[in-house]
Amino acid sequence: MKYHLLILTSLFLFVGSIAGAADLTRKTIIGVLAFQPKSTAAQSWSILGDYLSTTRPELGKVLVQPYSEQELERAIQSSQIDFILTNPAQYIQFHHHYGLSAPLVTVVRGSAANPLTAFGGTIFTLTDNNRVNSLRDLAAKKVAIPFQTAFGAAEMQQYELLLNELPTIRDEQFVLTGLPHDNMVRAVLNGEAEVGFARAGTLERMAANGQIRLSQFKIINKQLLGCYPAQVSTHLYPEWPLAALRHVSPTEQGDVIAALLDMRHIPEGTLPFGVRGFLPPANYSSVENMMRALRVPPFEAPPQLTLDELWTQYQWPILAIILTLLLISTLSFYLLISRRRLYQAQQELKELSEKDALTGLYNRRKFFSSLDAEWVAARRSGNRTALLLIDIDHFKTYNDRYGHLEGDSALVKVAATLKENLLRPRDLVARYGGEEFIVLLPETEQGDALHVAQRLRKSIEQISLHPVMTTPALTISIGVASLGTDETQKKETLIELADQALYEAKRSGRNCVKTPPGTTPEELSA
Amino acid sequence: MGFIVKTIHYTLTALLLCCSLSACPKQEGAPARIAFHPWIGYESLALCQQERFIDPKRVELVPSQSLSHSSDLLRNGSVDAAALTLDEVLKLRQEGVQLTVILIFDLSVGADIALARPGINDAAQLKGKTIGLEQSALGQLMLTAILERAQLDIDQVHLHYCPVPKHGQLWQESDIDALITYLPLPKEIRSNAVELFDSRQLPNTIRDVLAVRSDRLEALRPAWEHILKEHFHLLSRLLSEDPDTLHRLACLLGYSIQQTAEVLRKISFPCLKCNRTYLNGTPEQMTRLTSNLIRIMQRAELLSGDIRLDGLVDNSFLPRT
Repeated sequence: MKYHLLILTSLFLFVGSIAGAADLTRKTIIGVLAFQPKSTAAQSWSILGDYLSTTRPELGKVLVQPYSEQELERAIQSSQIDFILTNPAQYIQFHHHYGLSAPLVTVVRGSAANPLTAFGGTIFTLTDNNRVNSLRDLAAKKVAIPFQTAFGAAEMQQYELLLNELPTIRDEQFVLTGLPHDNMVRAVLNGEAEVGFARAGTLERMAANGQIRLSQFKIINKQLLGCYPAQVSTHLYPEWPLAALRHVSPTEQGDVIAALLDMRHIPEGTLPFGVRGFLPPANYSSVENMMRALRVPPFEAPPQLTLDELWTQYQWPILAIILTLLLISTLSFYLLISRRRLYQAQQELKELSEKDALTGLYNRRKFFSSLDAEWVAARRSGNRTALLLIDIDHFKTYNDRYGHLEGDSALVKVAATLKENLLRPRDLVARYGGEEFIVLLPETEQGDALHVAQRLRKSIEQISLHPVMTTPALTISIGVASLGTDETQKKETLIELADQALYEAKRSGRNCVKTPPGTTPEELSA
Repeated sequence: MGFIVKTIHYTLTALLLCCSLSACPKQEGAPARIAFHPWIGYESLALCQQERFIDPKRVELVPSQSLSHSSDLLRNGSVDAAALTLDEVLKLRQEGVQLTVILIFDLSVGADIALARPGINDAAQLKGKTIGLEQSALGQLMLTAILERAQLDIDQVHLHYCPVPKHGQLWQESDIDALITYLPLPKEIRSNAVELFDSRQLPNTIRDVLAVRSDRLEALRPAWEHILKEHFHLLSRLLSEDPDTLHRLACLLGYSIQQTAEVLRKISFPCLKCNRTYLNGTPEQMTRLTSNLIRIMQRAELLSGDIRLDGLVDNSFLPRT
């Protein structure tokens, strides 16, 4: 029995020792964004890896490996690392793209007397550069940065310009120097750029190493941050967070958090970049706000606003736009109405100027302008133009007998009858004088004109007049003339000929159609 | 036609009116002057100024040296408003300076403390002992509350008045047994003191407020609305321990970062919703806001018997959202 107990106890002790010892087959990798040569960084960070391996054997061999920005992203994509320690902006970007954990701890730098959980950016130029004294002066100046997405050496400074309602630095103004941050300082010193953006503390570190003198540089937009041990031009943002990749279990995360929050055993000054330990995670909302304002990945898309939000935010501009549109549409409507009325008035005036008020036929003015046009057209085509000059027979007697009102009524009827009996659209009848009418027949030979004249004459005979009238009281005499339009002919001749023909018709006893004397009627049938 | 012409005429007139109204400054005349002395609860004002949130045409901040200096500036009318403790507001109203509280900046939840020499572990042990304190309403208030708890009368203790900035020296050099002071503690006190009492045991009593002279309340309405809006704009930074804000506060007050963070944890900043409730003026809220304070102040003979509370609070200046 005693023997069995001894074996059991030894077995428990053995299992216990296995559980407590480091799992040599296991590796935990913490990927760190490096901004100095990787070999140097790897050496400095190995102290942290050794510390974690020793204090938390369950994590196995802990390696803290430096990566460039692109390498770090690839390592996350292929799950080659378990934890990531990077700047806040990159953490937020990776968190959105690859679903990293919430920040587990935040880096503390500085000293025991003055621990720093935040960092900022610096904007500097040479002390004797009188052209740059404030943020406003950065417009159009060459600015040295490591790369465009550098959090502490580009984005922080750009956001400061936005906060001051100034335009951000344009791409063509940047002089890209790459890392480390000392490169930007050198670029300003040797005149490649007028202004440099760097992480706050860079100038102080270089001065402490004897590489530069602080008096060579002046800081733009210097902030009042009291005990912060470096000159800062921007707001301060929380230090780097450490986060776990999705495959890391909560237990493993807890082990790393516990070990990192208790770093008393690592002597101060042994970790790189002044890291002296870790604290519970900071609030990174200020970094996210900055990234949203700058529209940097993953916040490139503009924020979606609801109508309510739009109204709340832009109430007055919207009202101004609506009022302006209302004014413009009212004015346009008014303009439309006015134009329409003007057009109608023009049409009325035109009618008045072209038509005879009593009969509604065209007046002399319109007749002559039509004759002009037809004469030109006839010259072009070589066709003849015919005129019928019409006079109502004994109209004065008619007027005397039945009165002027009846006379007017007879004129209206005659006019209407003439108009009705002209079949072609281009034929035109006008009131020529008191009881005289004139008909223009374009492209018409004399024979055809005589036909038309006869038709008109007959149709007038058919007019039913006042019931008391016994005999056909109204007849017309028509003088017909037709002319070719060669160069020697004038339109006045045509009228003269028609006049002569009319005279002839009257002389021949009225109510007939005549051609001018001396011309042979091509066709004339009664 | 006449209708159209009239419509156009009216539309144009309305448009011109709108343009001229929007071009007009929101407030005529000089900016509203607000006095404030160095205290972390009031520093949202200074931070707003640093961040250029404050329109200088509307609001001018007037730094004062102390609470009593701010009160003097209000009394003689050289400022329109001041950041004060609520007890100071009641005292000034009793003197005849009509004030209206439009914002509660903060509540003390441990920032005001009473310390004692090692060996004194209970307030009752203060009988016959010397207590150092500032000669202010706040000092009297804390003293009265401690004595009430210890069931002691004022004549059972000795008092040594001394301004807060000299409390470190007082603790080291004088033979006082206890000290009523507020955070941050000077380094001379930190190691060898026992905490007897703090303002968490005086709930809803010590409040820092923005008090406006009642006669300038409406005339300067746009200015009050502006400053309150910007205070709440900045408030989230104070609540989130934003490192930038911590550094700026430390610089403004001359504290270390750790001291600033410690004091920030011991005061509470009421949100907009809380402010709206506290300042709604209903009898229930007025009792909640003032009853404990008035009782202790009357006991300390800082206030006489009849207190008029009409027009003491107004929540209509708070931002709507």
